[in-house]
Amino acid sequence: MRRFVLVLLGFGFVMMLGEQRASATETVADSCTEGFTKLVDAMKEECQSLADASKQRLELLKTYDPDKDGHDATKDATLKDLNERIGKLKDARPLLARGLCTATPRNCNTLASTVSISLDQRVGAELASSLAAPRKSQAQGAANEAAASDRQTSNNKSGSSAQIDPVESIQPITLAGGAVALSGTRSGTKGVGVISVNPLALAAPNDAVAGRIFDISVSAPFDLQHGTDEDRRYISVRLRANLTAPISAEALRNKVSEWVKAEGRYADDIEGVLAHAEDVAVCAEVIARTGKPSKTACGEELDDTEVARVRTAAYAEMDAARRAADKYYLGLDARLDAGDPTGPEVAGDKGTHLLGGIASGVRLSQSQRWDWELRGRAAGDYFDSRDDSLGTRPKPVYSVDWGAAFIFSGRLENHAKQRMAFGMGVEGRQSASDKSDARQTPTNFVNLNLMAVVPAVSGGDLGLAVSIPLAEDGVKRGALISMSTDLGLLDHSSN
Amino acid sequence: MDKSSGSIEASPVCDTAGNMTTTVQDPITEASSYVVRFRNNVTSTGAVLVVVAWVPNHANAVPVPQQTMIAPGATGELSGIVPPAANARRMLIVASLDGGEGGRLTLLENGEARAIDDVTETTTWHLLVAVKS
Repeated sequence: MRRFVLVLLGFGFVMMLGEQRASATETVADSCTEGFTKLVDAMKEECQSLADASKQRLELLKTYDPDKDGHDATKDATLKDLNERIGKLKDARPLLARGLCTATPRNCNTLASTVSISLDQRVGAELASSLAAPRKSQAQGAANEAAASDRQTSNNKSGSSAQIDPVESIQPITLAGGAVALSGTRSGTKGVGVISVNPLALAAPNDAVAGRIFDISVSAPFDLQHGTDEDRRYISVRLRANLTAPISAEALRNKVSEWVKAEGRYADDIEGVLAHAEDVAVCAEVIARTGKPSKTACGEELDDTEVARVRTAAYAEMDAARRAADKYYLGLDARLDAGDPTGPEVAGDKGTHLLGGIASGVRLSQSQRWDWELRGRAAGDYFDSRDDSLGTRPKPVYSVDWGAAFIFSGRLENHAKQRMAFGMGVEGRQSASDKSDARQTPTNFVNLNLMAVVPAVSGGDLGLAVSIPLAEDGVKRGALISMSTDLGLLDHSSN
Repeated sequence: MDKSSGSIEASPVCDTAGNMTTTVQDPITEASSYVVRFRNNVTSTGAVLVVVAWVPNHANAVPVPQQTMIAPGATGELSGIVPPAANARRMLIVASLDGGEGGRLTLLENGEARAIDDVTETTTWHLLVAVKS
């Protein structure tokens, strides 16, 4: 019986504590709701004016895009007027007018989320001021650097008779692409079809890291005169990977994550401050205006140095990522060829061919529209002959493969969507194997490659290339003249 | 979400300093679908980076930041579903531009244009996450 009474008493005590806690929570919630309502009531007129002007502005912009459709003097004047009206309201009550008028629910949590934005505004303004001076002096340099990040992606046709670029880039295609090339070779006119796919970009189109890592290309020739028979069965697979992409994009993601987490922690702290403030409305207004709570208005202060630090770091990383994303690249170039790329007319090129190496490139801006690009490649090469026409098959041949090129590319006018490009380079292969074997395989050569690419249709271009052997000790391939159409299928960057 | 005020778009400028703009937009409702679209002008001198991130509420889990790089003349998008208001306080949209770039930043909520702005400098939009009514 005594135990039962004790349990009852204990239960009653717990209930009482619970009620007290609920009451305290309600008081805090009521206090924040009251503060919220007080602030919104004080801005009723501003809220309505802002809402009207903002609505008019959005409706106008929905149908008016001056950069796309051209400027309309009347609409420009209306837009200017609306911007001024909105600007004046903002000046009167920065942040609160926009943040509080439409925010729900009207509790401490929402109030903290709203007023904590002010810290971001303050740090952003400080950051902008600190960057303004150096940026001004570097304006031209920055503009030129920015131009370099306009990357050109193309299908990977490296090492085939469809190759147009003097040395192929290893920057992956944006999503997917296709190319058809016609090549004049010493064994007749050949056609080559190429499909390039960026699987990670297709799987995760919003992921900047994934979309910049690698692509795979498959190409196969077709003979315009004889079709594809047993002797011409040939397929090539190319993989190129840009290893600098994940480094820059991952760092960016981490910095942004740190930034938003710090902002979240700061807003949590502000929520606590507001909950205990004597006058929530006054405290919130002070935070909104100054970016942080003051002891006089809120009863306590908060340390905002960490948020300011990670915010600045995140912005610096964004800036760096944007500029560097496409300016430099360094990565892998891997190729597999199986079969006979030129048919029986050229003896010695039928076999299994593997190439693996590193490739890199850098863009050097010359003006707002034009830039130079330098490309290079160094690789190891393996060729295992399967050519029965040679009598005795040569042993597998190991070679060093290399290439270097410069490309001048740009747009004829600012409004041009596609680029023109002209390039020149040399590619070569030197065997490290027995000379007699090497003589019967496609190695020991140096080719001079010339390229011209002109915009053709939206999202595509037309390329013309000439490859002239400067030295040719192995299988004689002869000069090549190739014409290729390059289409960026599903490639939004070329729209 | 209270839209009685009729306000569905914000001022182009809430706070501008030098080459950075911070704007507070009207709240975005939890569980709605969003698309952040940026059309980089053909006259832009370089790529524009667009980032979407979520400020956590009481250290709750939020989606990882999304990012995309958009070439001149191209249009890029980031899309998804707004996380619960219990998990995310705010949505952050950043369009990172340098001297010479310009374009149109648009936010769609459930397929409807919610905010549009023509930007010429690094711009940050803040949107509170509102509880679904």
